[in-house]
Amino acid sequence: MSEEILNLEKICGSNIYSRDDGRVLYNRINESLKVADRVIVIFNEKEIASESFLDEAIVEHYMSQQSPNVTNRIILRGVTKPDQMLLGRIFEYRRRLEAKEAKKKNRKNSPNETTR
Amino acid sequence: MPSVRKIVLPKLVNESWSNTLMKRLGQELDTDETVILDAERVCWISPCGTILLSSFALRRLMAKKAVQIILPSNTEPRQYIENSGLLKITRSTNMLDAIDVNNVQLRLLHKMEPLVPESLSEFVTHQARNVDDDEKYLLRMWITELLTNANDHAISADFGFWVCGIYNNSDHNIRICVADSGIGIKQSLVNAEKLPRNISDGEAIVKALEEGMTSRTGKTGGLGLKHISSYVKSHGGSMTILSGTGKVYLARKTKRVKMNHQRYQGTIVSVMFNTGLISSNGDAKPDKTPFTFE
Repeated sequence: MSEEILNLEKICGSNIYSRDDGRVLYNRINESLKVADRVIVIFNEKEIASESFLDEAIVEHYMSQQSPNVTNRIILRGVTKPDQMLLGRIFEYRRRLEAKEAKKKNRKNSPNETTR
Repeated sequence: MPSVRKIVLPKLVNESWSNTLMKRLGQELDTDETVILDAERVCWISPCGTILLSSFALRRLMAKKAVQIILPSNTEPRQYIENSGLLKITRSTNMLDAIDVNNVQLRLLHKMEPLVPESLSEFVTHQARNVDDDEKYLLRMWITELLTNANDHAISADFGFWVCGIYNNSDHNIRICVADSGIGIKQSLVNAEKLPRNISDGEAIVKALEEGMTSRTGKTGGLGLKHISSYVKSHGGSMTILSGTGKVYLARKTKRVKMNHQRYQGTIVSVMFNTGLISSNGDAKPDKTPFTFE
């Protein structure tokens, strides 16, 4: 099984706040997913506390599912507990919003179902 | 002798005087005469006032129009204004490099500088001594979110965005103000086809506070302004958002939407909360998530 190891500090340095910063890590993970079975991202207990960065760099992979089976192929190593919680909150929030959007679209596409 | 236009600032340039200040600055922004900001009597300036003055001076200088400042005679505000970089802006020929970047009270940023959210969070959490680590993390998160929002919406790296934070010892209030000079909330949501063109700036701000509202196309929104405002309100604070001609004030049981006569080019978010009222509120923990942590 092939593995790619990505070190957050080497890739992003101290630029770990904005969506642009997150996009840099997102792209590196994406490239690695194309050539390796597992991608290990090392956070080294660096606290991020940026919703924009974590959403763009990490959560986006799970929402867009550009590569197959990302859930088992991306390993996040050394993420602080609060950042783990934040990742969970962002994911839940986005999933909830997408479900809401899908519901809205369904209603628009089948207007007769609700009116008699 | 060349003619000049003078704006005399009052003793207290507080939040409620910001409207008057914005109107006066707006009137003088494009004049070819030299504009003098007379701060001689000033004892205190709110973060919002500091940002308005600074962005006015910067806009004038970038348009190669003269602006001068008369510093306060009082030592404390004088140092405060010197620290804020206003004096350096007016004296320098290369004003963009001249701003004191080491001062947390006022910073002009041309991109998201990593040190800023850290130092601003430290500044806030240092004052809020009674809070635990979880709460400090949340504070840091909202501050970072405010800054990244401004960074994402700044119209250009030249104009960048402003951040200013002040702690008041006497009432234990922290005020943080972040301002960008972008196209404003309404226009960015109209461009993303999320809102109709005929909506007012005030209504657009209210819409921007709804869950999931984002200017990003084809994607769901981030936690955004809605969550920042919920956090501030639940901690007894208040938040004012000013964009274009719209102004929205939010507190725990209050929401006021107003229309300003003077347009502000960009968005200002001003947050105020009392450090004595911050306490851990046990944020809900997420359910099962798909991430593999090691």
